[in-house]
Amino acid sequence: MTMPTSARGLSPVVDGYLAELDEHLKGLPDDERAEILSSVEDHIVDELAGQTPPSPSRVREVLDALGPVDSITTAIDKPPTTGKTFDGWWSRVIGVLLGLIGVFLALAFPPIGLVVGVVTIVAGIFLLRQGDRQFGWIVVSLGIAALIVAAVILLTLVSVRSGPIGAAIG
Amino acid sequence: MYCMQPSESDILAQLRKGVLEYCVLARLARAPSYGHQIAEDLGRDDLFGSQGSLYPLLSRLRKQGWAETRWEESPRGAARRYYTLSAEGKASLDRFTAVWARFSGAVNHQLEEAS
Repeated sequence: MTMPTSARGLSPVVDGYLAELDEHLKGLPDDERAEILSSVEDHIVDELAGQTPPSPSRVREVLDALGPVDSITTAIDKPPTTGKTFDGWWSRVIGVLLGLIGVFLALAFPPIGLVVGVVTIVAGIFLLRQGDRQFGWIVVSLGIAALIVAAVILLTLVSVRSGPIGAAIG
Repeated sequence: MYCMQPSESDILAQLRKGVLEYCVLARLARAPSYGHQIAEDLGRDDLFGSQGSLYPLLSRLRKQGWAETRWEESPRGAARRYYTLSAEGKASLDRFTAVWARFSGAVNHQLEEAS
């Protein structure tokens, strides 16, 4: 018996799965996208070998074992383990400086401090995503501190300008 | 304080994260292989949650230079992409093997002490 060489056309469910996977892989380099797609397609062909046409229950079983398309694309998002340690010291310096400037600006120019605080938090999250937990949390904390200081000063200024607090409540 | 207990599958998912790629390298160290065969071998040992997650990993190993690919004819006619372990992949596997021996020994020691 001749075995199918492509999973396309074996079953509408398989076609739908591959189309969804192809859609999810958009944005990857062409060679990587083609490699993953053809590997998954080959896997399906191997699993369904000997059944032409394959039974719907067998198709479901194979696709369930492969997992939802999301689980495949989630695996792509994981950063590759290169064996290198994180050596982005410049990211740390920039992050900490940004945080300190943010706190200073929050005291001197609260609206600008607010913006710098948000940028600092984003920089801290970047460090955390790089696996630099210690400096990541330091930078995030500085960003939050800048935000709190700026917010408190801004709220105080607004309440002072709008008259006595008691009158405002009344 | 309410603290949710992780399920067995949660624990397994966490543990798989750091080791799956080395299990693939170890599989390739035995013999060059293609995706479906690797998925079957590692799947038998419950080393991944879903077989599909293997394929991005294989692609990544190739891009990192830890695995190389070549095409070979298959019984079904079409050529198959075979993955082989590169010299760099072998070096990474050797490093991991050394670290893993120490690490797993330390974990086992702690668990034995606790029981």
